[in-house]
Amino acid sequence: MTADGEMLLEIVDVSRRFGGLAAVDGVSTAVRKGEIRGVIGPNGAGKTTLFNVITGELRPSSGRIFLKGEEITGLPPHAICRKGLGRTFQLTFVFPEMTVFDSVWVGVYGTMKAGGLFFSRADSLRGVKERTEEICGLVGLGERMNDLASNLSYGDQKVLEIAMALSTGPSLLLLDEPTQGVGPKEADTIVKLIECLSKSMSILLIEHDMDIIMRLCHNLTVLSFGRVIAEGSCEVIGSNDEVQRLYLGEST
Amino acid sequence: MALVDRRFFALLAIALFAVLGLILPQGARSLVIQMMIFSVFAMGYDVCLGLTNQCSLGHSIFFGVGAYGAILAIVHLKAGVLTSLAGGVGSGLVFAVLVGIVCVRLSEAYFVIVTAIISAVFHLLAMDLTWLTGGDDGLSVSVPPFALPGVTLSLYQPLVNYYFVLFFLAAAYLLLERIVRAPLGKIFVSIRENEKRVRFLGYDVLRYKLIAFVLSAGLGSLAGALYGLTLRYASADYFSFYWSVLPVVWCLVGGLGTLAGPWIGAVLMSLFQYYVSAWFTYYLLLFGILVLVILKVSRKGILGYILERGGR
Repeated sequence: MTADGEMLLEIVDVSRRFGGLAAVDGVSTAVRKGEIRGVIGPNGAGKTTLFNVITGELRPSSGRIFLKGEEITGLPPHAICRKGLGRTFQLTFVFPEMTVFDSVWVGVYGTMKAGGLFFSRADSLRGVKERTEEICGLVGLGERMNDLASNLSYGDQKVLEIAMALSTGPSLLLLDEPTQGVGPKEADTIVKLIECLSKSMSILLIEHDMDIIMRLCHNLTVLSFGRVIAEGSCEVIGSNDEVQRLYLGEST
Repeated sequence: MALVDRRFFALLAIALFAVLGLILPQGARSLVIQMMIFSVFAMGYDVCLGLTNQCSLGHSIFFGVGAYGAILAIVHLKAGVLTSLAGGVGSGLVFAVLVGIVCVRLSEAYFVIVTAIISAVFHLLAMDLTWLTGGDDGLSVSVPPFALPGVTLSLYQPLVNYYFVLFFLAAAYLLLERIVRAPLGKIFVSIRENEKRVRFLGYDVLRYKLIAFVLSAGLGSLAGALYGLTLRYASADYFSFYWSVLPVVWCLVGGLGTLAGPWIGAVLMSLFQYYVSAWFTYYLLLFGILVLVILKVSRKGILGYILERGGR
């Protein structure tokens, strides 16, 4: 683990049980400032559950979570979001009947605390509009701002997901399989976008494509049956026997 | 784009109502008064179902409380027309907050069931507490005249009654149109589209659902108060399940989330009630079939269909 940068997210011995099943079982890991950390592991390893626990959608059964040194364990999702954590979802999860602009606008408005909730004209709130356009431009949806989300291609919806996560100005971004189900060309665009974003924020990334993982991540956390079985830089993980057995053993 | 079209329709309808008031014969004018009151109710309900996807089956509570608030204010407090109207809306808002705080945290199906149960409780109470509500027989009052600068008016004058109601329909519409175009409107629609996602954009969704619910119930009680003042009468029947289902039907027919669309539903159904029921007792059956046909053609209802076609 590179020791530069301060600790942004700390997960300490977090478990989440569903009845007798421990979907996340005593996981401890951390994300430092400026780091892209990958979370890998076979299906059902508890990756998405871990995300849900971090973002407040699920309460951890035990353990503690800190964001920028502040405990966020058990806070509701909206409060955790306000503290600087944004996320995307594995399956696209946008506002189908809203335009791209409006989808991003909602997040920007809430973060900027621009006021005028009841009676101001939403479209004339100055700063909010500019920031929204800036984000749409940044992710490459500048031309599609007035299109309904449901009219976007699947790949563009994935990009819109990221734009919506960015709208709240996060310092840590949790991406749940951002390239799942999209073609290689679009996947490449998304990877470049993530590279670009990582200059200004830390990223925790779930991804199955090992090429993308190797291209993007500084460090990896490997989960299996809810436990961390290995952790470290990509090279270290690549030569780890247990990880090799897990991955090669499954695919052959 | 679509917003401009929707506003055009609403303003056209208001202008049409304004002209109709002058040219209609007495009987038809009473019918249009009823349509306009139902339009207020329908539009208010649209905030709940059409804008934030909360399918309440409890809006009869607010219709009934609004009517009784106004009538009881006249009976016991000797209140004037405007005060009694404010009393109706005010008590509606109080009950909306109480019911809303319990209900907005429930997930979809439970929300429907619990709002229905609470309204059933209100209906039973209204029938039992005859000393307060008059039960099934209801309460009749004589509505005092009210003074505007320069003139004294009475709701007993049909034209005054007509434009009194039209004024509140227009005012309610302008208020909602303003809110829909404000940040709150966008937040409402995003909640309708994907409630969970809005949480991860940093919003306390329950708070906004409660705001929508109370706003919606407030207009329901305004409609109830107008209805009570127009008929000079309120009865326990206003709390019945029928009054909870009506706005759902109006909104589905007219077009969810279009504000003025539900007016079409209210107008159509009133026409049916008035003209078809004269020669066919089971007119509701026919209306049910009409609803199915409309929804078969377009799931967005009549105005939703028109706006969609017009948008292309």
